[in-house]
Amino acid sequence: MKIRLENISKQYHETLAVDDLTLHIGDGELVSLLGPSGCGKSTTLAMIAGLEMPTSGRVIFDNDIVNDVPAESRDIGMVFQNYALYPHMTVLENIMFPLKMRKISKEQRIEKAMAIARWMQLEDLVNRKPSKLSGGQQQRVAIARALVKEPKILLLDEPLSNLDARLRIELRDEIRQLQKKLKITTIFVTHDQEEAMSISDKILLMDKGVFQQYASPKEMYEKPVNTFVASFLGNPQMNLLPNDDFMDTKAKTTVGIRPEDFVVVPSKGSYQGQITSVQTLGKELYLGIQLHNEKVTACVSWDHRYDVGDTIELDIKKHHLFDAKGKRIDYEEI
Amino acid sequence: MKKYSRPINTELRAMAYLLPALVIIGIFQFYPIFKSFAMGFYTKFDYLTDRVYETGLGNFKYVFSDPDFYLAMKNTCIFVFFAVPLGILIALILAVLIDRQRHLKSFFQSVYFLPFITSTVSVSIVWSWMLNKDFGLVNALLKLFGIPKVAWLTDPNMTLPILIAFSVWKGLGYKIILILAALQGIDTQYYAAARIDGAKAWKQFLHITIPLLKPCLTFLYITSSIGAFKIFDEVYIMYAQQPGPLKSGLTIVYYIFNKFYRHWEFAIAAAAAFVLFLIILLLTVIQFIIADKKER
Amino acid sequence: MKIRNRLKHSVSFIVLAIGALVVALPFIWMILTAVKPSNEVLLMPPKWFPSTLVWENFVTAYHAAPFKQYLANSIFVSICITAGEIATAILAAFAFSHLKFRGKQALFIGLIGTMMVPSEILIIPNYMTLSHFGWINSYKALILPWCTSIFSIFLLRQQFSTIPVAYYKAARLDGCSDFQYLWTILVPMSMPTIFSIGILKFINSWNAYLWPLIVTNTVEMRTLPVALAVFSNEGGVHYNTLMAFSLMIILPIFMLYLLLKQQIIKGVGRTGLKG
Repeated sequence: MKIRLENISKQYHETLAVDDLTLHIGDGELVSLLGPSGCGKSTTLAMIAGLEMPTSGRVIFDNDIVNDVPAESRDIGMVFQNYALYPHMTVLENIMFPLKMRKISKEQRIEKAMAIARWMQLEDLVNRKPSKLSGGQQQRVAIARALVKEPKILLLDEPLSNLDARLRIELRDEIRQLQKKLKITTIFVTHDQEEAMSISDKILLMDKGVFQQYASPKEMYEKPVNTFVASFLGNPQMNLLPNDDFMDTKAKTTVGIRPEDFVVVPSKGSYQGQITSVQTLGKELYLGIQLHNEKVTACVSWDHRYDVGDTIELDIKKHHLFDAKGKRIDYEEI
Repeated sequence: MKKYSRPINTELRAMAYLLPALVIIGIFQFYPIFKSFAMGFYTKFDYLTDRVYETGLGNFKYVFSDPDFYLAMKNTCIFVFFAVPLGILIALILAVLIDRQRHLKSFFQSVYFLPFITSTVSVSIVWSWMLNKDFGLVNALLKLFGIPKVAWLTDPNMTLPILIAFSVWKGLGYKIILILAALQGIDTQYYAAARIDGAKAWKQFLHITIPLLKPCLTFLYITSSIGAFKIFDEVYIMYAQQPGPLKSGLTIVYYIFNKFYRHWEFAIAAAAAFVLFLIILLLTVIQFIIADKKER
Repeated sequence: MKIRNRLKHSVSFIVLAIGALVVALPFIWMILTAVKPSNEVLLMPPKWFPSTLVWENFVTAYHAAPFKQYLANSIFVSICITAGEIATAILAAFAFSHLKFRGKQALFIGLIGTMMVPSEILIIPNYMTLSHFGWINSYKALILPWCTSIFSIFLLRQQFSTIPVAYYKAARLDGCSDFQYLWTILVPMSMPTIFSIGILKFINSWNAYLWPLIVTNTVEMRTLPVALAVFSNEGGVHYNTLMAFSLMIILPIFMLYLLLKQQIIKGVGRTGLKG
């Protein structure tokens, strides 16, 4: 199913949670709603689900305006941050619950629920209570429950944030494969940029209720439309420096350089800096470097020994330019 | 899409959920509060037709000039003054002792709790049987220590002590359970820290346990006082429906009950009830002020 | 050091044991008297253990009054009150915890205010109301006024509010109506609280005295405590049958207590602290 949001706004008392958002999601796409907490992503999800009514604007599924369609009639499956598995029901009962609400006969309920449980490799757990499951298993049950009614849209509200790092990566891939297999339009809410980058066809980045950028992960990373997007994506963050020292453009601009775009050269680099800190990570090193009057972070490989206080020569592979308001300036425009 | 059901008016929906409770509360709690307040001012009215001919302060004047009412106030206040702190103190000691037991913790808890859940009528009857002057167990036990017979139930000086003892006995379990719950809520790290700082058991109790139990003890103090002001059942049963020898067990609720049920003086009873209400209101307000302070 | 600790420990144990004995004494004495033959009841010094166990005392007590009727009344009234209170409180608590409506705050504050008014004060006007309805000496009078409790509404509202709103959203997406959500999700998830409220209400109704005394005036409508009070006046000094009668009132609560000790104690802890 295609989803279209047209000029959606949501006002809570004084605060504008979502401000005039327009968005198209293609059939079978996986779109991440990304942003810091309080950016409006959960509100947006709730409006798509029908749990919240937009103050203005239209929500359109395929060609139908669904603003007035109640949540239960929207054909949506949803997985919640804490899974919201009913603690007094077994796994099977939990999975059957949406079917029970649709007044499907008991035999059919069991049959369908068992089928999806088998598919999600939950077969052996169906008679357990949720409290007896691990986080990852609970997560699978929640997905099974969301999928059992064969929804047209799957909504995932920070489904991985309660899991440990390793499991998160594992389940992230699992969700991605599942989604590919089912070709179900999926919206994934997260505040973790890495998660969004790794899983999505497209990312919608929001801040304080305002649309920032909607693009594929690659495009967003390579061509962030403003300084917020630039610094939100990527870890460590992009270095944002006043232009004075770098380019010759007269305009008051900001230069953005991703840490991995610094290259340490043996000599005759374009820039010279002094190492102020060295952080070793598994596969790479983060160097804190004093560059003119600015402190920057560079991401380099292990092939050389770096010490605090060393002076190094640097080249820059790639840089981004932003105008005084933080908007991206493309190279052609300079 | 399938069905486009419009949400029903939210007020109407909420009302549907609230209605059963609100009807009952309205008839049996809201209305009587106002009625009771108003009735205190009825000086001439027909109870059967609910017609009021005259209103005024007559009932309050009567109540405040009735020596019986003063006696009831005095007895009740003495009762509250002794029964409440005593009950809490004993419960506190027992709770701390129980908390330190390794075995039989729940056994003790259960035994002490028994009086709280048993019918006041039943246990009042047992008490009056045990306190019987000639054949009662209490006097028999005292005799073992060479103490002469005491006319427990007919000596007016004994009435309030008996009622106080009864109330302490009956409420012990409830208070112990609440104090135990609060004790278990105290982080053991405090005790560990105090031990390292060299505080002995008694000092720990004084400087850690008591201050941290304060909210619980205050709560118990206020609620027990409110409960104690309403003492009636045990007097009525233990003293064969009389307010004790020489009215030594006349309490406020007994006074109200007597005016209302025995003499059918509804308006006077209502006026007296209103006075009781004011006393309890005062206690409640104090409770709120204390609770408020606590939060700050 | 160890010896001192152990000594301390045994002293506190002895204090507790003596205390327990004193507290339990009335019950022990009640049981012992209830099974004594009549000629051993009034012995001085008292005989602790009866020479023979006279179970007939219970039969006598049972027949001395239409006990079956009282028992049936007590059971019926207590169950109705408990069920009624739980049902009304659940519904109202749901409205307060999950629904938005105008005047919610004001209504809630009004209810809390009403809770502070002691029920003894309401007896007179309630008696008059019921007599205007013509309900005096009926089950309606015994049951209806107690079929809700603001305190329980308050407790349940607190309980319902602790359940994450995600459950509500999840259930709504699955097509669960408010009413279904309340009964299939909220209520089962809140069972411990509901259970404590119910059990305490049952015990209170079972033991209630003043109200049943006032609104009943015939033998057929009396509940056990009222009947016992009357019996103690009429029964004179047959202490063994009187104790047997008392014991029979306490017994169901005893059994309930033995069966559900932990829940009852936990319930008291829970409800007490939140008050």
